[in-house]
Amino acid sequence: MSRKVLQILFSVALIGTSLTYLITNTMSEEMEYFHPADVVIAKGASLQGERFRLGGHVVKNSIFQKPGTQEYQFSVKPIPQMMKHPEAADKSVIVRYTGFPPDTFKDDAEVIATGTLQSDGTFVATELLAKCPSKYEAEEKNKGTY
Amino acid sequence: MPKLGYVLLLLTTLICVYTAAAAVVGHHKGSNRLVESAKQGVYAVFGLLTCASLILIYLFVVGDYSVKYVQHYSDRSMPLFYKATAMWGGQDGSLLFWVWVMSIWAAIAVYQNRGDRNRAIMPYTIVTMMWVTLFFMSLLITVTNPFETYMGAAPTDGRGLNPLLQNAYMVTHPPSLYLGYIGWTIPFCFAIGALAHGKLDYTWIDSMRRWCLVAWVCLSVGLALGGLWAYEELGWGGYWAWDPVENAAFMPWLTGTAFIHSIQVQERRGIFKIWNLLLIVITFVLTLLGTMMTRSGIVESVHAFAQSDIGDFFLSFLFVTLAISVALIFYRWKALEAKQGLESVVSREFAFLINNWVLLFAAFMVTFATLFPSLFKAVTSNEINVGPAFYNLWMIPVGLLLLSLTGIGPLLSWRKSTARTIFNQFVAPASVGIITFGAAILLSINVYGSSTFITPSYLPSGEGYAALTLGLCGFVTATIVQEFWRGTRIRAKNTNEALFAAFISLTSKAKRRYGGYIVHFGVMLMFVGFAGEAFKEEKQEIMAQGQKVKINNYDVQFDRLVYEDDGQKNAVTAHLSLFRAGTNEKLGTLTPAKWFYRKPEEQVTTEVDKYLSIAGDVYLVLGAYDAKANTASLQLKFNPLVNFVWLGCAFLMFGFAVAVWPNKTSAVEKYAPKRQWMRLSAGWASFLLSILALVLAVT
Repeated sequence: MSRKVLQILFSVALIGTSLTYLITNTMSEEMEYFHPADVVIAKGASLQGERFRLGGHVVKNSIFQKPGTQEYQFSVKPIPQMMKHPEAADKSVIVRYTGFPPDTFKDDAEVIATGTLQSDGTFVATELLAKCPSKYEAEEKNKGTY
Repeated sequence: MPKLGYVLLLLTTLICVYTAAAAVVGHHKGSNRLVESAKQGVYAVFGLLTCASLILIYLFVVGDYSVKYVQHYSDRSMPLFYKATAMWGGQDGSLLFWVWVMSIWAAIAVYQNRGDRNRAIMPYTIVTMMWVTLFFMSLLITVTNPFETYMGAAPTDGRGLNPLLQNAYMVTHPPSLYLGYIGWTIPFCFAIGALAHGKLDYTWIDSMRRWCLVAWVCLSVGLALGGLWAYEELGWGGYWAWDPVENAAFMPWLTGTAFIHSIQVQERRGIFKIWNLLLIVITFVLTLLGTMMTRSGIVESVHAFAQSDIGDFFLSFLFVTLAISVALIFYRWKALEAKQGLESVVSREFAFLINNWVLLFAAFMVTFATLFPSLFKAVTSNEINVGPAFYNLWMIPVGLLLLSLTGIGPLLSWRKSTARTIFNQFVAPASVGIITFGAAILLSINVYGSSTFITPSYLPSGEGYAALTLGLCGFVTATIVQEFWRGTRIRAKNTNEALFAAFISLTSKAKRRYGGYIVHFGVMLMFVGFAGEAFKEEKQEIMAQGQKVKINNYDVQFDRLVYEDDGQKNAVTAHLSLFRAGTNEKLGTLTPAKWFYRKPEEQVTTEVDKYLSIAGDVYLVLGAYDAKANTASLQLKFNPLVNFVWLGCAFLMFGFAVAVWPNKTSAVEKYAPKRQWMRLSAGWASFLLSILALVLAVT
């Protein structure tokens, strides 16, 4: 390999590393962790204050809407297949959300709520994603949907 | 029927192997007959895949629910049109669709290069085409066979297609995107053909120049249609959210854009050879990565929650292809090294180089950020999400840098610009830019009530960026007008034509150059639309019958709820009247709705409605309704300048049509007048594209 090739490789490596450093550095400020409901239940106190994404299943008959408003309250329980803290299996997190829920938000739906955990143990969400609970989706595990 | 389809796939695979072998052996033994036979092989692959794809479409149309894929993605109640296009509704079918489009492109490329044209590089070009085709075939005949049937009794009806996919944009957006994606494969194959053979001058790029533009415009239109789909179907009021699947299509667009700029430097100055080869390899690899990301669910996205097992196949293929390509470039390094360098940093080629670096950086950034959550999970087993805020932090400055280069580049001369020409070229556009910037600041203070243009961290705020963008848009427009004006005036003087006639003949004499300027103008218009994002307005209201809500300069009044059923779905529609604020001048009725589909089970979609105007759209979403109380929960948005994005896309297509419009007397025609029909059809194709562009602009 000629000197020029080495020069090019060296500068590419140098620029690449410095950019990666800059990007990851700014990214750490913008990224949000994802915590499944059982983790939040098991070590809730340590997660207070930071903004993160909470994932789990909506507990049946737990969705309440304050009449005449867009304020919702519901409970999220751990997803059995993803459980890391079995002691949290029968517990749930109370989530408060203001805004329009997605069309797929209903009992048993798998949800991802983004927000912060309060000192009283409730989770205040500003964003809500939901996935349809029906069997149709479960069997679809192996197919990508566009 | 499904069996026949599968047999066709197997046959295609065999012919691919034969074609590649014939091309290699024919090339090394110097047997022209074998090489010609390989070319026939490419046509055969095209024919067989066309039949296989038509069979799949046929199975959808007749509703053969013994085929798993058909049963998964369609049902009886779907309209015929959506049944046919459900072919690319899921993974298996869209991979077949991918390879089908690939075979069409390959057949056209081989047809264009029949006889002696590019004889030297064709064999390995064909081998590369077959290599890519074979990869997809191996997936189709093993893990993603779209013709797989149920073992036992076949279900009597299908599960239905996701209703979000049942609309005109979803019918046109994937094909357009795929045409673009796969369009880039052909120049890549030619690049490898040239590298393998060692004929590394400008010829391979020259014969691929139009291809690249076609691929580029298809990808651009595909991205725009995807944005329109998100805007009209998803109901969150925007068209771009840095979702991994959007990024997947955007990454090759960035490097492809770099490629079509930097090949001009090789054409003019004979430098950047290695750079261009690297760019086309990267572009191809990114299209593969993009297909993998959309199809395998490796990256979590709102488009695809699901996981699939084809990711590993894709990754291995991707790395092998990348390794071979890079090895070939190193192997030919001596022959590729530039005989001369850059003469000055104040030159057009240097502007192109900066443009390339910025685009490549953007592609690197987007790729890295998109893959970062997956890498992070693999290393730390923690799941994270990188939000739009991060992308915007980096990509807004990058976009503005590119926008300013759109204006600066064409003003610089090749080789070296003198101080005098720089002053002469820049003084008018720069003044226009500064005036527009000032006007934009005044406008945003007076009309939108903006007060802060700088954030505490010394970065511009949303409004600050918007004013900067509009200023740069003014600058770019001025450079384009200046180029057209100066060219027209000189031509009118020299030929004694009237100004308008001179303008037309100027454009038709240098279509590539002026077509390019029109594309730049379209891009500039899109940036105007992006700037509008800073002034968005949004409200959420629970409205009682007869209640009025003001948004921007409009009053929206809720009239009533209407319930309907069309057999496929139940629809609840809110009827709202739109008035100019504070008056009784009715502008129209808006009907946002919720649709409850029977199939797939319990699927609900939100149908938005909007009032279009050039200043911005009033955009209404029906969030929920209360039948008893007769109220509707509505999300009201005002999206300023959003239509400039679609208008810009129309100009982009028009500029493309100008740039590739066939020349009147090409060398090919002199020798072969029979090929007149090809010129004609190319002309018609461009004409239809521009009509489509106009239609897009109007609607």
